[in-house]
Amino acid sequence: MLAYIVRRLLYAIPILIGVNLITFALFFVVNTPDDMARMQLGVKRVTPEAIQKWKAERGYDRPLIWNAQASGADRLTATIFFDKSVRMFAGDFGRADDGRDIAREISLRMGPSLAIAVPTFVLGLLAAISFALLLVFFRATALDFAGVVLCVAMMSISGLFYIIGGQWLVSKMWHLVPISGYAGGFEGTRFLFLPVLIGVIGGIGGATRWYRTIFLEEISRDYVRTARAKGLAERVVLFRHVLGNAMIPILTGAVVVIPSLFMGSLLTESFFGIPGLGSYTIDAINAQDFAVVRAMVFIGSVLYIVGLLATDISYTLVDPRVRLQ
Amino acid sequence: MSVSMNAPLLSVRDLAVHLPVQGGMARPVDGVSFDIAAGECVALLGESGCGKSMTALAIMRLLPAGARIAGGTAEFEGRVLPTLPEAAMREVRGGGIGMIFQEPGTSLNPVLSIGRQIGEALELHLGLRGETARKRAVELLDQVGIPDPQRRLDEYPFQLSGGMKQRVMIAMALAGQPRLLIADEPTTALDVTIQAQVLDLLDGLRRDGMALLLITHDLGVVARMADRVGVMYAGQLVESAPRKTFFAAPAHPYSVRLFAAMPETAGRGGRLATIAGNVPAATTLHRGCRFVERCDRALAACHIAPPAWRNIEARDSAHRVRCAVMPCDAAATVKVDAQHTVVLSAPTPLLEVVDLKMHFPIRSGILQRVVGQVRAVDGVSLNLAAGRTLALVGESGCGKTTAGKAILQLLRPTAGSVRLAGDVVTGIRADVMQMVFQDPFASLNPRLRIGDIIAEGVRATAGQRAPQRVAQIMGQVGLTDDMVHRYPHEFSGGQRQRIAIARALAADPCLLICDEPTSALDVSVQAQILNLLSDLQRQLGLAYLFITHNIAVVDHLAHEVAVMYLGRIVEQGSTEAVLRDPRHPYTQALLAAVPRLDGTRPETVLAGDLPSPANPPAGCHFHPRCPLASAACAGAYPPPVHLGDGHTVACFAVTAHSPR
Amino acid sequence: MMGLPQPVLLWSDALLFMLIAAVVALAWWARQQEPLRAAWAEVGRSPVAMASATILAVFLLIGLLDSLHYRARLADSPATSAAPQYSVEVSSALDALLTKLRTRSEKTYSAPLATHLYAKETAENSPQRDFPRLKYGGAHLGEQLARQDADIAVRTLRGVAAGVLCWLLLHGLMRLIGRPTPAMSLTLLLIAMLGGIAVSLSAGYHVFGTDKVGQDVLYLSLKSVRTALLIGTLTTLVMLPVAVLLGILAGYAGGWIDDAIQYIYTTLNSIPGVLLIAAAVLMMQVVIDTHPDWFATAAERADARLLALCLILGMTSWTGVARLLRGETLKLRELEFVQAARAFGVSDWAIMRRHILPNLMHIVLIALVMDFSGLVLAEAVLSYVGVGVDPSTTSFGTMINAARMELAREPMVWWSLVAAFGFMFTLVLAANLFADVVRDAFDPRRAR
Repeated sequence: MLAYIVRRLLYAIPILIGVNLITFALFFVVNTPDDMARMQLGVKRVTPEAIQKWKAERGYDRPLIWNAQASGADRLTATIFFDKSVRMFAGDFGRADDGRDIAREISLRMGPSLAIAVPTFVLGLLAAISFALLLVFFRATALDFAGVVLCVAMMSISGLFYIIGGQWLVSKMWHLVPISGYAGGFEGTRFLFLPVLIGVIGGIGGATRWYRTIFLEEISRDYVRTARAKGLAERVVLFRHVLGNAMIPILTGAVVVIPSLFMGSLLTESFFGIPGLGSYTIDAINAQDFAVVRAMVFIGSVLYIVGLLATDISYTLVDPRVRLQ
Repeated sequence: MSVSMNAPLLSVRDLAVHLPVQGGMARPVDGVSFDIAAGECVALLGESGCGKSMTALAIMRLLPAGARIAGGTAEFEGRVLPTLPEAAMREVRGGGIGMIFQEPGTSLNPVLSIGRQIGEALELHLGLRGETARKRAVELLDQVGIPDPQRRLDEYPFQLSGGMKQRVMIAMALAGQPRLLIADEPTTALDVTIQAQVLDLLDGLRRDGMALLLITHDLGVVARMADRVGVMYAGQLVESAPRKTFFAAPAHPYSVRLFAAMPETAGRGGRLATIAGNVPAATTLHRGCRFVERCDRALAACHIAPPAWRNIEARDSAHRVRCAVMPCDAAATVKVDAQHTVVLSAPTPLLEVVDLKMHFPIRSGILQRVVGQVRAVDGVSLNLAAGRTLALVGESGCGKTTAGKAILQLLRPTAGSVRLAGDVVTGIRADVMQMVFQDPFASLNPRLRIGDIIAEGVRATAGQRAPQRVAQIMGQVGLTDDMVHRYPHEFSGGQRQRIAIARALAADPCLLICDEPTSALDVSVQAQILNLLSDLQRQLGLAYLFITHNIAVVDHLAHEVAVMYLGRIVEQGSTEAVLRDPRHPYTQALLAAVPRLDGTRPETVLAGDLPSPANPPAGCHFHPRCPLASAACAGAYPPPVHLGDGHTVACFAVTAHSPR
Repeated sequence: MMGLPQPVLLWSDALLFMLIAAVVALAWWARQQEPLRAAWAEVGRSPVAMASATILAVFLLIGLLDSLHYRARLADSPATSAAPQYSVEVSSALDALLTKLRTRSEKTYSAPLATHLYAKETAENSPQRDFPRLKYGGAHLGEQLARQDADIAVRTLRGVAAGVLCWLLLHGLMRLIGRPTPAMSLTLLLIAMLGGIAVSLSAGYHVFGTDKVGQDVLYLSLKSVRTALLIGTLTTLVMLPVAVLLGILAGYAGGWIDDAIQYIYTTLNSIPGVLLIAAAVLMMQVVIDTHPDWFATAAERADARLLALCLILGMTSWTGVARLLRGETLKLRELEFVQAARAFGVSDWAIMRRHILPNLMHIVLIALVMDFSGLVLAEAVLSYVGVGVDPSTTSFGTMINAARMELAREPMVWWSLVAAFGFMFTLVLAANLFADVVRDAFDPRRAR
């Protein structure tokens, strides 16, 4: 099993390198730094000096991957590729356009992101699994049918609508919680209530339907018939036998996103004014701050790969076939 | 609960199951009545789709979604099962009636330990928990013959072999101390030596007083196990008799034909009796006898009204039959034109296989290095002459299918040579060798028309004459021209196998490798395909390499036999020599394990499971299970001993002159 | 006198028409295929599917009308001139049909069916700030504003009557061709009545009000349909060839080819989708902005951006389908009919084409219909994030984005949002319901 985990870890390395190469190509090869400078400075009022200055401020005035002018190791290191891409592996993301250190900004903004994302994820998962089990328990009845129709209807509503509608209803009409904002500590829970609620409701339709499908597939298997032939009650069959087996596909979908919770949610954070990584990203996109976007792409990929690894490890917990081989 | 001595344990009356389907109502069970007394074994016999499994599931009220009990009743120890409240029904399930299923591989929960799965039945029905439950579970595993039960309790189903899983299923079914065990095709998925072990186990339980409802399609298993037999056809029982009477003189024309279609009953190389047509669909509404369309003795009355039950002997109600044609002397009427086709062995072999090896690497560790080899085929040598049939016999996992694919070059052999008519074969030779596969449902592309499927083979060789050639071949295998535009799903299993044979013939090969071509078919359809194969051999001079586990089929059509065990051939020779005078202990055990129609039991049942080909026992692979094993057997693999007439055996215990 | 307009074929139009042609060809092919025909027959028997299909067909009709583009001949250019002059503005057949809706712009916000603007203004000849009358909305009422309710009721009834009449006509026509199911007829009746009401009311009012610059919201909603349809279909279309080819190749070939393809899609997958799209869109925007000479008209530029968005969305979403196809190919490869084909010496390419691909088509179809609704919803989010379609392209996303700014206003300007969400919900719900039935009919594992 250890060999299995080590192998998965080793497999992550080429993927990270691949991600790095793709982002480098996307940010520096598709458009040259000159093009970007022209864009940012405004196509019309641009002078060669302004471009040079813009590039120098950001360290984009070096050659892309090979510095012929430099000597020794500098030929490789005094380049944009080394400076902007390779250094990311060491956690050095450089500075944003406003001059702040990106790594520090990220560490500050992680907390608020997690404060929203973790409760949303946990409550959403629990709610969806419970509803799915309920529907499966009453399968092929009117309740099941109504539940599925409701799920499809909820899936068909835009996420933006949930946020806008929720803010309007709960905060503006009922004045239950503040419409947006954030505070740390216990005081902050009143700010968290609405975004978490909306996050859970927004995702529940699709998740419930997906889990219901998984449960139904499991319930048609032979071992479920064996469990019933033993005389077990339907409740026991569902919770002990079906749920245990269904955890395998459910984990595939759920565990992989856990590390990515750090990234926060773009929409929720920006609508509710949460100072997390999601709103950081969206602000960077709107301000076309490429250094921040690049850093977020890299971190997102690392977290996804950690998620893949966590999924592999979680299999060993629920599936004896993986654990014991 | 006190039950009077004479009352049957289970009494089923006019049971009917309805299942709404597209375009009508299926009636998979349509008025079935039978009794089982305490400690009795009743067998429900029938081909696929006759409603026997559905009957069992209806008794347990475990019908699939949509199906419901539409009429009749089933009374168990005085409780009327169809109307019992669900809570009381759960006590009957497991507590009164235990059930085991056909596929032990999928019938156990893969993520719960064996102990847990047995334990929950113990807790439910006996209220046992903790240490007492564990002790009882160990006893149960011990009772069903699982070695080292303490350790097995903490294992998971994937760590057990198929036979072990079925034993665990039985232990689980026994946990609630039921009085009746329903066994739905309990050994169909198992190898014949393992089948013998499981049947022994079930027989032992019955002797201890357990009643058994055995559901099977296998006449041999019925002969071995049952006290009474009920033959099912199209949702109804058509004949009911004590075992001895039934096997001595089956009365219903369907039963009679079923016997005649068994390869055991026809002489070697002779033609098998077949039953024309197919079992009617479960949605059919019947007016007369359900068998009338396929019966060669049907009277006018048979078409008009369903026949009533009648006793064979006027005063004896034990043997009854639902047939209007009486007295039923159908047995005498099955005429089979027994024409022996003795082809004398040709001088030069068509196929020569020398020391064929097919190894698959096992990778492990961080860098996925090759740490071992699965020796699926490990030095197989065969000779096959034109126009002859060589049967490659063995249990699942012995490497016989892999050997077939390696000979065909579908898999590139690791070592060894394959020669066809003297030429070394290195790539696919579509025009010489073709293959017929096991599963007629997986072997035809569902998106191609029958004509296109066969034309694919023609194109490999014939070129432009394709349409005429397709029509010609379809005629040869008994298909009609109008089928070319239809799709595979419109055909039954037997017809699909004909199409697969036609496709193989299209390339005009002289050698057909048949990989279990009839094991997925019912016995009456199997007879049609076996007849077709022998006709084709006679007409076209084809040679067959026939891969199978079915000894009866081998006996019926093979000229020579090679017996495989764990990647090697342990014995080969003429069919007569190998089957009548088996010399290798494995061959002897294999032949003994086959259930016989006369109901006799094997003196010895082979213990243990087939070892893994990744890690075969040292020396002779068979020695851990061999009754004759000596110290030398663990030391080296025995060289072949030639007994004359091409009969060779790889065993230290056999010498060229040793008398049997 | 106006001369003939100059037809314009935008890239997205061409692709959309090609897509429709492909769908028609596929449908014709599927009719020959017995198993496929049976599956479609099952879809046809489902009332839910037929009702959804009818709604989707209406949306498709709107989208198609909006894809017949042209440049109007300028009125002042002589009709006989050798080089006639055309408007720089690209219009569509839908624009021509909705000329009144398009041209009757108010000054700024007005509520649905209103007769006055939503904001007070200082009138020219009076010192008081008041809600000024609309230029078009309710203009026919003159000073008799009290008549408005009665007028609306009469127009509604007239609309219903006209709708029913249209429906009778259409229904008669459909019966000539085939047999519409009851579900189709009812849905069509409902749509005809709603359409009748909308047409009848919009002659005198702005049914869904007007937006910040006074544009009719109903017109904007109808224009958004094409964008949503394009993103929902073209995205899947551009990704399909890649996904199908790589998925089958990985599954069938195995070995290093499989490793390489798996590596590519795991790597692409590991970049968070929104960020990859954002980065790619930002970069693409730089490319478009630095090459203004590539595009003759603003419409062409917006169209290029729309297509690029589809391409980017497709490139980031092909991985799921490819993985699915790879897994299924792995199973198919071991099936006996593939082995039989190999025993005939059929080449690998021919096996993939004849034996593997046709048996995967149901997955491709299911992916196509299942992805559609997700993509329509994604467009709204991306446009909100600022990496969606060109701001000049009308879409549900841009509508919501524009309306969002006014949420804080008291009283709220809600109609743009409600219209956009309402149209989007109808489209996505219909697509989801249809997709469900299609999946149930085509997925062999769900065969009942």
